[in-house]
Amino acid sequence: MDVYSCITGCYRLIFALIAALFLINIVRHESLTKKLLGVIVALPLLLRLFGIK
Amino acid sequence: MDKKFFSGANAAKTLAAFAVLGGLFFAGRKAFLDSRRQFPIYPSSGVSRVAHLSEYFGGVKGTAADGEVYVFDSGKPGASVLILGGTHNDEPAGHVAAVALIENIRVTQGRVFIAPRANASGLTHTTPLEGFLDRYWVDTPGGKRWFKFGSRYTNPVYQWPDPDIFVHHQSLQSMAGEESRNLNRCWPGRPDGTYTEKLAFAYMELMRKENIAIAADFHEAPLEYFLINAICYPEKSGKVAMGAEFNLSMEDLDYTMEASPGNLHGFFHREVGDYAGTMPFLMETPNPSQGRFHGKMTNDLIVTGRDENYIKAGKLGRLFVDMDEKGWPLSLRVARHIKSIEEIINSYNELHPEQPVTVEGIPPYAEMVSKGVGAFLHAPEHEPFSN
Repeated sequence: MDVYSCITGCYRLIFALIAALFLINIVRHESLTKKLLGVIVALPLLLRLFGIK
Repeated sequence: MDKKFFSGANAAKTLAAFAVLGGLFFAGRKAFLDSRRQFPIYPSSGVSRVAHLSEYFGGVKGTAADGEVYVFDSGKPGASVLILGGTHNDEPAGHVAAVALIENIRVTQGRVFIAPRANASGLTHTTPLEGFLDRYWVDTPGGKRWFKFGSRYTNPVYQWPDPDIFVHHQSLQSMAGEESRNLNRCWPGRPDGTYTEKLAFAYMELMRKENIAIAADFHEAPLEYFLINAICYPEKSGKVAMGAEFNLSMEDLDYTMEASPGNLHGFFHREVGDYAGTMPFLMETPNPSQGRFHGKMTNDLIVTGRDENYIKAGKLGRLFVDMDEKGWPLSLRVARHIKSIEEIINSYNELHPEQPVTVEGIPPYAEMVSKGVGAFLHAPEHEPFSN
């Protein structure tokens, strides 16, 4: 594993953690508006996380 | 943990939010992946094989730069020709001309190599803020054929970030940072360079290993740009270029022959001649969908080449070419590209009768202008994108 693969792995981990944070917040918030705002933010993170770019 | 999280109302809203997220995810996924799909090509029976650039330079293997090269090998000794379409993917006549050649020609002496998607990654995105279409359609007798409209630059997902200033490696000439992703600023490339430099190097290796005698790069330009309706060539291509100009003028076709400046680096028409034994030619046609003046970007603008603003600019004498209600149709621009390479080959054959390249089935200029380029394109099969 070279240094670039390590950096890419770290990026993926950070993306996964941020996406998980927003998914938890979608559950946690009671307001539907806040849930949908969470959806808008989580969507590009999930697309990027699954290699769709 | 707060029990409200698990209340019936919150659970229903959460499920609705996740349903929206899932729907958008799969819809977004499809839209993204469709934008990576490349337009179909139906080669003529004259094609010998479809090579890949990685056969010439392993550094592009497994990357989006490993584009296909359609090889027409007559099996008889003769000269070899390379044609690039789609170096800049916001110049549609370039790749449509290359595709029209692939779908019609037969080579009876020598060899012809055609790369219709010279920088394929440029077809996977469009230039931000330009309002470009993702794809466009051309009428053929058998239905509508779709082509991608893209960017003149390599997709930044393959090469990022841009430097503030791009320094051309061989000459140390400096350019704007985004030009580091412009294939026609990265010639002759280098094996350990950026994605775009490796792509240029792969084509240079092709030209060196296959002893390419003539290489043509099909481009387009905005009507307010001076290098237009032109064939640009370096010193070593001069004799062939003059012969081609003579042949073209005999048919009342007006082309400007532009000598490539010796100190303008990174360009196909300069570096290919300097770094390989090949005679390069770069062709430009007028593209109303590319410049600063055009109105809304539509399929009609790309295919008919008609635009109110450009017609007005033409009447005011602000353009480097004539522009009136007839516009600059895609068919005319493609016909000009094909005619120019046909006459360059004829001129080369007159000067090198001992090693000619003979190509049959080239779409005739007048017929393409009158019938349209669609008449020379294969009918669509398994059309994935309806208009």
